[in-house]
Amino acid sequence: MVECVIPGTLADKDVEPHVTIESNAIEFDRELDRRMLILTTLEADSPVHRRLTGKQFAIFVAVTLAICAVGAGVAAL
Amino acid sequence: MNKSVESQVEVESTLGSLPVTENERLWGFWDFTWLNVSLAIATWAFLIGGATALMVGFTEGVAALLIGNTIGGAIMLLGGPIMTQRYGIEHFTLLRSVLGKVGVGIMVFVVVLLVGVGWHSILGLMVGRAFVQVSNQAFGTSHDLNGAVVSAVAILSLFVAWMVVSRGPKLIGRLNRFIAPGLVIITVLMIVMLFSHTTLEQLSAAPALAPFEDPRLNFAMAIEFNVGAAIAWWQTIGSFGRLTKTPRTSIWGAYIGLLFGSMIAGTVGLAAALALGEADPPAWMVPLGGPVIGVLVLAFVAFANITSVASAAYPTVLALKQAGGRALERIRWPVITGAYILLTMILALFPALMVEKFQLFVTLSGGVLASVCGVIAADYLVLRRQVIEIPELFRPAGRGAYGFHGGVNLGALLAMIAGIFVFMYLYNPITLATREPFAAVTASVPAVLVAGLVHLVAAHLLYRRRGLGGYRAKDMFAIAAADKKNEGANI
Repeated sequence: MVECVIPGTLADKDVEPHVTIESNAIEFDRELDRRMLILTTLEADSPVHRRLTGKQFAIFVAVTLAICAVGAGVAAL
Repeated sequence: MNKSVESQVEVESTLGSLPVTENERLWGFWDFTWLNVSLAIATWAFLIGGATALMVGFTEGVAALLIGNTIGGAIMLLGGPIMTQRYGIEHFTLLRSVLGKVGVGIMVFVVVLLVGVGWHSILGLMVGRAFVQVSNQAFGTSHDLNGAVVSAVAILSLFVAWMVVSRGPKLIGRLNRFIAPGLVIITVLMIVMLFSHTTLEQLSAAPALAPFEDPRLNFAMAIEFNVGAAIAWWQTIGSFGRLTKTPRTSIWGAYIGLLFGSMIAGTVGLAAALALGEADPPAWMVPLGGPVIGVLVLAFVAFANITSVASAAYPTVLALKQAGGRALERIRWPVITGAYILLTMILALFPALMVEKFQLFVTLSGGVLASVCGVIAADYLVLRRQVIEIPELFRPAGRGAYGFHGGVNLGALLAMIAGIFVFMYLYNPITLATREPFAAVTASVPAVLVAGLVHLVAAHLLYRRRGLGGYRAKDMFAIAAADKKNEGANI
């Protein structure tokens, strides 16, 4: 394994909220609202949030099948 | 107890589940691909290659590694990083849209816990077996490879892993800086050593170590085993997906990186096992590398395994803490990680059983996770058309769009059971009984398809047609982008 194995990012910022979702929903809601605002304004048309297209999915399936075919070919050697 | 560790975990388990913004995303295509190569060249990849050698020879083994990792990787990608990439939300939080909040809890405490405990105890036992090999080779002892010394060292290594994981994510990150480059060096070293001992012709002629009578079935079982090993990345790559910058990065970075890394390390494990007649990596590393290099390599592998357990235990226990709600909220981090590691230690008391059943464990857990991925892919890609209402994910269990029935999507649960049933019908890894289509289409692929189809029907009948389950949500990104465009046009 390598660095950045931890899924979250906020732990690196030395934030000490002293809260949990249950014990202080206000801070959690405020942070959720802040992030929702960023997502729907600054990042609204960002390529980060693009959907996987049908074409991308088709390529993904085709590549998977092609590699399996190569594997079957190797096994037949 | 360091207060900052508790705080770090607290942040991860609460605010850490929220969507990450674009600036917080870490990985472009090449970064993510390299990360996955590093991940895949792990100690257990040698173990997978070695276990594949039990069933098939070199050529078929390479083919089984290629096909199995491709199919397993594809299934895992459809059920994980595609959705976490778009929304940037923590994996299991996002899965509330598929399974419901209580449903995620059930899955985490049944599937994720069992799979995690199994894998981590095996990694601990690998350390124990490495120690015994070094002791036997260097000091002339004759400890049994499945004996009490193996268990004792495994438990000690798991204890050290607990000491690391209980000190929070930063220490794990620091230790991991040394592991990935070290394992790449070891893999290259092993390739050099291997081909100084044997030739490609000799490898190709080497028979499988413990095959069954039917060669076609051996090949199919080897593929299924590798499918299971690749699907086991689901939790890790699902979590990582949220930190990637585009859909292309999350899919192809993981696909190419994991396939490439698994193929290299798996092929080394396969070839070494066939050349030296031993499936277990600790058993062939000293004969292959010689006493000095072999012992150094084994010592490093032991260190890498301890860090791997700590790294992988962290997100697993975090998921348990999140899914446990109020019941686990007040339990301190060292205690909850200690309880988890204790479970792995209990399994480590049975080294012979764990090593003997390693193939069964990987294949069976792969079948279960394949069904889970089939349900997720059908729900997210087909029924929801990749649209999720973020605020609804954070509502209390049983309420809101993803409330379902008391917080459980019964359709998803039924579909998972159907998928697992189909898997076991086609290939029962416990009895090794198989049915005809298995050799041609594996058991995982039909399990994915059946789980997905059952979910499409059940979720439609139970929720979608009644306007429940948030299946008719509008895409907030599309709406926001249209608003932004209109505002720009008006100006």
